[in-house]
Amino acid sequence: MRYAFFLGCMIPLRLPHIERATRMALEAVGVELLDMEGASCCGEPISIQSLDREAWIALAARNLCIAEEMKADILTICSGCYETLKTANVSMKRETSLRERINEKLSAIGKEFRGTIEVKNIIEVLGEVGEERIKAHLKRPLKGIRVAAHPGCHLLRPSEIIQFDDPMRPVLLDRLIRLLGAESIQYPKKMLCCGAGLRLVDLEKANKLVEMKLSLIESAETDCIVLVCPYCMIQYDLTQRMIKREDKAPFNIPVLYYSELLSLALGFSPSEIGLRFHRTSVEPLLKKLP
Amino acid sequence: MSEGMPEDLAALIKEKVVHCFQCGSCVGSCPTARAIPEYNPRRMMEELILGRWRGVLSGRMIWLCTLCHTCYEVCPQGVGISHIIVELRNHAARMGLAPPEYLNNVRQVASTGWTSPLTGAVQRIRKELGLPEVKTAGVEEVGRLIELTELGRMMGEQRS
Ligand code: SF4
Ligand code: SF4
Repeated sequence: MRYAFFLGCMIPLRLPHIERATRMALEAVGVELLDMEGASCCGEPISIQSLDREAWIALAARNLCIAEEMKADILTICSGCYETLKTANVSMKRETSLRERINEKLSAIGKEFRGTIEVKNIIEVLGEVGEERIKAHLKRPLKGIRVAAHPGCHLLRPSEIIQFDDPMRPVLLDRLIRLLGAESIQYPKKMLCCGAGLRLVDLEKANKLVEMKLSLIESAETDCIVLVCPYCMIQYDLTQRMIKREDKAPFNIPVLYYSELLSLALGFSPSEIGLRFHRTSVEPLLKKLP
Repeated sequence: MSEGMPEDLAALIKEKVVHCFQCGSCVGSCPTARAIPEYNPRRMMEELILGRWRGVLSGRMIWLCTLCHTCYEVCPQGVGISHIIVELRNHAARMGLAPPEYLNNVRQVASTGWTSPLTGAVQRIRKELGLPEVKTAGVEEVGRLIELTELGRMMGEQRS
């Protein structure tokens, strides 16, 4: 099993510890990761899509071409990259006129989109690895750990393009959490957006949204939040530290990317996967690990 | 009322937006509406049906959507609000009405190939974690592609 490993910007340039855990965990369960020489920002789903959808597709297409040349499907680890690359890939395969317009631009840089590969996310790829194979590698089952899963938006929607899990009642992330021996708890407003898309124009209101979610998660008595997107990670992990509550102590809920949780279950130590680089301490979770 | 309306916007309204029957499911499921009570995608569709597109395009509301696509899934009429909002933003941007924060992001991508700078601190952390050095992002190709699109023109206008 080999994939063109598309890193995007946020993880390698702002949250490199997630890259580290992802590389270690995926390689441990038998996924070969091929580095993509010359890959750039995916195409950027918020600002670039909003300003010029065609430029968004063109930038994504350039990255798709790199994987096509490598003859490998793409593995994304950011839900923004996933939405961007998957939308470009699916739309250009479906619409000949769009594909022709984009290929005309790509010809200026000596590239051509052929439509020969697929774009996948990390949950999808781990599903392909298979529950049995992952289970066989587990060294430290996470018994008794209560996890609040946050699947996020762009991993699932718009369903017309994404066609991955159920767009409003997803089950696959929860299933992968349970596979590690942990419990995936229910909490109100689980499917509500983290608010990251609002940060650009209204940081205060973006923070208000994540504060609402953190309060609900806190009252559900969870040991950690688990997600699969660096934008959601910034919202929960970094913003959590900036929220000041008048009547209560600051939030203190560890936030892990799924591959970090998987790495712990695979027996990697917190220090080798760089958990110290989280802004909200993961100590309360580590203390509870079996 | 629809005088001067760009053709593709008119077509989008005719094909999609007019089917909105104002049920409000989009508002009930919208994260931005929870944080900002004045934000109301149902009303945005109403304004478009009534031909008040200029006001919608020049207002701040269209830029507050997180593009979470929840409204896209819950709408019983298949209006596809989040896609409509992207189209509205594209039109507003062509009219020079994009918020500067959006354009700044593009400038970063055009000059480095990424949305974030590669800082010395991150390079040190990567080394400490045993991660490979970050490869180049093909920045000349990225810049060239941007130049070839409408986005390039927008950036040029902003500079001059
Ligand atoms: S959910 Fe659809 S039909 Fe209902 S108000 Fe919103 S756009 Fe209109
Ligand atoms: S896509 Fe925008 S309008 Fe639709 S629910 Fe999400 S934030 Fe609200």
